Amino acid sequence: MMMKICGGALLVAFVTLLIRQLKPEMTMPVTVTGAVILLLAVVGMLAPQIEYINGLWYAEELRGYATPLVKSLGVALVAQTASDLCRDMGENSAASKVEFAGKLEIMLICLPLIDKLLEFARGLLLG
Amino acid sequence: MKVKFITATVLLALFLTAGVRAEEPETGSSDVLVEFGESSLEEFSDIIPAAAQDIGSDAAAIAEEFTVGRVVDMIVAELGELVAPLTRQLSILLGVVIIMSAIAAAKNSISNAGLTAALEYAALLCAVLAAYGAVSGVWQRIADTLDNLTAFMTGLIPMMGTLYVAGGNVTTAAVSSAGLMTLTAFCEQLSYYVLWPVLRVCFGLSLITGLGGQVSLSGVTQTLRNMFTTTLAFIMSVLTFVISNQVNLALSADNLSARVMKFAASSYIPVVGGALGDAIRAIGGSIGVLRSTLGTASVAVIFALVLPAVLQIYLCRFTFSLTASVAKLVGCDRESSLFDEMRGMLGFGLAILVSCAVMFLFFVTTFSRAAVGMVMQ
Repeated sequence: MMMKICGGALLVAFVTLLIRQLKPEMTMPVTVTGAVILLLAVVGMLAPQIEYINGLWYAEELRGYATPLVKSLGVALVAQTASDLCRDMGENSAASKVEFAGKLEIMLICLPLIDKLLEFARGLLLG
Repeated sequence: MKVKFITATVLLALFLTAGVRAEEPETGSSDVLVEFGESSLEEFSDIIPAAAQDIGSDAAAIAEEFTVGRVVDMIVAELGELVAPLTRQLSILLGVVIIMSAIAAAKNSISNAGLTAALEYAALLCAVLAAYGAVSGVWQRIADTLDNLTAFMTGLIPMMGTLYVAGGNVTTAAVSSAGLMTLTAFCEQLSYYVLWPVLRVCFGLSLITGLGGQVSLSGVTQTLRNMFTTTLAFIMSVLTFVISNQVNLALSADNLSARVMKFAASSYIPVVGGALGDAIRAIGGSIGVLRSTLGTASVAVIFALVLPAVLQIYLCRFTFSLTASVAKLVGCDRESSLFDEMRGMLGFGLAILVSCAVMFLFFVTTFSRAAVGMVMQ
């Protein structure tokens, strides 16, 4: 899988170079498409690990903690990639908005955990 | 005059020939004592852990079965019961730590500080939840064990008092019952006014330490725990000193009274006085044996009540210690300090539980020693 991703990254780089010579206005769409495809491939690499976690004998309990963490990591990676692309295109404002949205999304993913923690704290405090 | 003489002679003849015999009760005093010893611990069978249930419920059987081999068997049985859930907890904690380490490695590729902070927050939140999920059951177990211990001692106080009174140690009965009532009330208060409040404060402080970022309150938590543990040890020492001296003084007073009574009986009651003194000694001896049996059985029951909770705390502490080491090893320092905090909180619970158990054991053994003193007098 790693060889495929490396090959894909080199291919995107070559194609971008060629297109920059031939048709400069198409460079950005090609770069964006390449970046998205590479990101999807990287996220796809996580699938066996997630399957492995699901197969563990204590997966039921671990899933409660692993799912928000993996989701948060995915959101952070996607937001980082999108903001990098926006910065590459000179859109700093959009980049910062994407990062902010990413942070908000991570907070939203963590909300059930916070809720569980508060419930636990309430049980402890009220006896 | 003649009539008076005849009447007196007839009356004397009547009295001298009247048959006198002692009334034989339906149940002998020794039977009553045996029944007391056999049935005394049946009502506590609900609170005795499963591993110790097969010993039996009568005091004599428990006292007979309370051997080193039986204790080892109980420990092995409890360990067998505890290993499966604790392995599960350890696996979950280690799984969370490994996922967190993977995220810590992945976040290096994320250049944005805000996104990295959000990821760290999510990871720490998971660690906090996993840790509290593991520790909450143990805290409940400590509270339940304290409740069972106080319930057992509350039930034991009247029995011990009865046996003291039956043996003639009225002052010792009053003093030891009052002392044990004080101790039992103290242990009940410990659960409600010390154990849970300290847990709540430590929970809040460790939460701030864990999620607060730059603020580290682990030192405050540790100081708080040490302060409460030291105060507890001091109060326990004072209680032990005062009550043991009270019991010893009362026992001496009772022994003196018993000796005076026996001496008076032997000296001033003709013919049967000596036999009466011997009978008092014999009854005292049999009651002493019964008290020793009940004392040994009570030690066994206290041991059986406390052992599972102590083993669980030790194993849970080991789990947290191992998880903290692994977290430090993979570079999750904040999570490692959080797991260390949990270990410290469990240590506080262990201190409270063991203090109460040792105090109860001390008083029960004092009671048995009093029984020996009674037999020896």
